[in-house]
Amino acid sequence: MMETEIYSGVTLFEILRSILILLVIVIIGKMISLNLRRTLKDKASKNLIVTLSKIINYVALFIGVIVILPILQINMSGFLVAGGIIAIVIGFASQSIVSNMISGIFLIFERPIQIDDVVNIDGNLGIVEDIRIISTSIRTFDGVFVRIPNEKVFTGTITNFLENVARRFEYDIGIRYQDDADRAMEIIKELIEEHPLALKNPPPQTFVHDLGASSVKLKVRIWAPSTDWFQIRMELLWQIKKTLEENDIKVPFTQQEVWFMNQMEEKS
Amino acid sequence: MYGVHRISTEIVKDDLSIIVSRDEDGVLYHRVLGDVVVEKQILGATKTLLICPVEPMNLPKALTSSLLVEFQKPLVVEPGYKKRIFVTFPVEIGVFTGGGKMDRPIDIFTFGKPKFTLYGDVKTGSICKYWMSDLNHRMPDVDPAYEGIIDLNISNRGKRWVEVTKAVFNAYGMKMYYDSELVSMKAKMMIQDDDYSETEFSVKPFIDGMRLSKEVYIQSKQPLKGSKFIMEGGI
Repeated sequence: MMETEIYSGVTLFEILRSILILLVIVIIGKMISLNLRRTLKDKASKNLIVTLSKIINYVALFIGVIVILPILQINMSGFLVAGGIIAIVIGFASQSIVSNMISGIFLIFERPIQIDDVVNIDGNLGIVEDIRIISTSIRTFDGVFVRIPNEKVFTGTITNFLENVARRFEYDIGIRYQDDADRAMEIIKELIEEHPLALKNPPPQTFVHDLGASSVKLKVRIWAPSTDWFQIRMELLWQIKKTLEENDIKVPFTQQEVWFMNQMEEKS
Repeated sequence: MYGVHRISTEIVKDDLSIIVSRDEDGVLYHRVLGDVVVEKQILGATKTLLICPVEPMNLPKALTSSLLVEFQKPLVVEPGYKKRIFVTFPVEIGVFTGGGKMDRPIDIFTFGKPKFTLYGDVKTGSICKYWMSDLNHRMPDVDPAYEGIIDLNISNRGKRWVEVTKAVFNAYGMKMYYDSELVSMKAKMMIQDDDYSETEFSVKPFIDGMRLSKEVYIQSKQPLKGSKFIMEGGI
């Protein structure tokens, strides 16, 4: 049964042998990439490790295919002749796949985003989980998996929140007109100074920004490490609110004074 | 406070209290510092506990491996001039259990107030642990639980006068030595010009007989990080 010819002199045994060889080579590739991941775990960035491991897997697959082609009596020169026609057919049939693949290769080498970056791609805000050859996957902050074709990633607008090591955020804080704005600013400066992750340099700024209809508006600008800015933003805003209130400096409600043209007479 | 302690033990310093007790289920580690309470159950036959300074890069979280020491007063250095100065750095204290490689502390705490800063610009710069230090020409008297001392050899190898306001160090090269009186490191800063200088730690203590501290930032695990810090964002 194993000697049964399947096509042009290729027996079932040779087909099975080819599958086995391909499997062994792919498994060796996987083992090498797994070992590489273990070895480089603490020594290189996650992005570099994942890219290297993918390259090893693809190279193993390519070698496997090259090795089994002669066993399967597939003539490479025949491929070259038929290649042109096949390429045109495949080109038309899989235009978007090829386009995604090429975009994927450019993404891996140009690296506008990396694994674990916080990004906004095409309105999808989240953490980059993987950059594959055809698509990029993102885990949004509410835990949803989003797969974006690489062509869209490459040609679209990417906002990478971790590309720079630090970023600035700001608050607008309104206080009552009767409150001491100097004291309020001093309190805010002390709280920023106390917070370990609010950066010393670039220096934070606190100043009177506007004399509004109901309040004196203070502007507070703080630089923070890009990885932690949101946590700091939440923590500091609450601390500022509580500490200002403890010092009898309050955020006023919107106020409007109404004056009557004629005073109403009081009834006795 | 620093050194090897037998389990069970109780250590008290200022508002720090560490109680390590053994019962039939294992070892209970209980640490209070200020408002923070840390309690851990340790499984293992360990009989000792090592308390020693570690690289001051771990608290409140390990965000960076760079330490920036800003000088209270700028230092103006003549071309070709070398000078030995002493600056301070914040101390973080690690608690290690005996046995095994002891390369991972069970607890790290500090008496100081951690602060971070940016060195360089937001694109190419680095987030650094921040510390402000006096410039001392003689070894200052500091409490080793709070501050350590860097014996810093500054040399201006360039052809111009330079004004130095800070030094940035790489935690992967830090070799910290300690005894009951002092926590110290020895480093050099080689200045080429205003935009380029290098800092590097020495593997030797500046006072013989001091014990080498445990390293959390192990250079052999991060060979790509190197042990020097190249200061290209100004001095």
